[in-house]
Amino acid sequence: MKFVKSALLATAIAASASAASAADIYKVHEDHTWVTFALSHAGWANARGMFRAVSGEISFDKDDVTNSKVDVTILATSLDTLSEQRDRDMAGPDFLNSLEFPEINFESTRIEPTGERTALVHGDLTIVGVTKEVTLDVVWNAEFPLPWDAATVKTGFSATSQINGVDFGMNKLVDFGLGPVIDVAIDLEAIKQ
Amino acid sequence: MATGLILETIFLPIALGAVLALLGLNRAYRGRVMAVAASAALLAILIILDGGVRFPPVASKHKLPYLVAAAGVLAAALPALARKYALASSALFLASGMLWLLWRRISSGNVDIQLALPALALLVVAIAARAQARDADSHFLWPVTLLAGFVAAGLAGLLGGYIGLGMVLSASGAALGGALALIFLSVLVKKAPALPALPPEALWVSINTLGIYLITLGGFATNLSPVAYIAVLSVLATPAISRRFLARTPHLQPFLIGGTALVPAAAALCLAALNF
Repeated sequence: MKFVKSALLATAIAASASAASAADIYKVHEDHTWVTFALSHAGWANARGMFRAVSGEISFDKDDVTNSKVDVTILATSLDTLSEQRDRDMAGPDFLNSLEFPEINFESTRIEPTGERTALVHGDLTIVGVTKEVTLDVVWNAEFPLPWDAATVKTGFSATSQINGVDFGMNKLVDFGLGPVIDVAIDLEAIKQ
Repeated sequence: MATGLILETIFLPIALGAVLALLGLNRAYRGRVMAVAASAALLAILIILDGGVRFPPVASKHKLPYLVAAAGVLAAALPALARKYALASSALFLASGMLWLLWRRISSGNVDIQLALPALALLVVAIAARAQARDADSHFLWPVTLLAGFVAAGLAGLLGGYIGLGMVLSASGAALGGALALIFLSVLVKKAPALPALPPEALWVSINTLGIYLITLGGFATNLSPVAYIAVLSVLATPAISRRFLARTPHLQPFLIGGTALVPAAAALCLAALNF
């Protein structure tokens, strides 16, 4: 009986190990990743900006996408809204507070496939020390080796989401007629490890 | 939106200041009550303009309401802190506040020369707290100086990338303006008591609240002009120059003291505007 239990346990461990090994690890390619956002500027137009420094790791299981994981970190100080003055204001304690909270982090908690190449990625987004669950609507675009370097395989995703700045304590957005709903669009390329 | 902003940053604080002065002008209310009342007025302004009190506090701005309330509780519980031991009590209070406010920034290794500004503010404000305890017989000397200090710091904050705190500082200045207007009226009609309407306990709370705000401004404003910031701190030297005006008629005192404070305050504004 004891032998049977041990055998079952060993089989279970081997099965889970094989499932885990089905996932490939990818490193976010910072130079080819665009985290952009848009929010209403008092109703006149949409103010837009992007973050220049994005890093992270993706564990991508193509056979069972629910086993995949995403962990991405954005440097809050890398904000670029095409105005140095505005970037400094947005980095201040009223908004991104990047001196106290230099990083924005997203860590997936659950992945829900919605099609052959699409999924909803649920996860915890932490901005200015506040963590809220958000959902990214993700499309897996393509994966193939670099034309000039067959050993390097690159994959790519596009994602969209919507967050409310007030949920993260950025109440001053409302005082200045900004947002507070922020549309987020991400285009991300990652190198297979 | 603009009407609400004017109401919250000017008229409401003026009304709160007037209520504070009414309490102070009534001889029944002294020291301890005025410490709590001053702290409550400053806290109300902070909460109205910057949102509710958050527990647990995460960012430095969430810690401000706790520190303003703590100043009121300390001065009310131990009035000697505001009178006999003003220098030591302010230095300790501001140093603990500074450590708590800047903790996340320091622990994440985000340390640079800008952090010399809050340290300088700590020193200047603690010395100012000691000086106010010695000028306990004037209606106007420190309240007018603090009014100029709050407004100058507010404008430096608004132009220095910390709009929220700039608004809170300016509104706190407006509250002192409301209190001073009522005190001046009572002096004009000869109804003012001999002792100042804002006793050392209330001034200790106000000075240390200004100190906590200045530490936050120096530590976190992203576009702050260091020279403008130093000019703001020099507003607190006003009583050293304008103490001689106390010999003049009380009707002139607020204007002479205000005129003296206006010089560094205007310099701070010009320097902050140049940096904007």
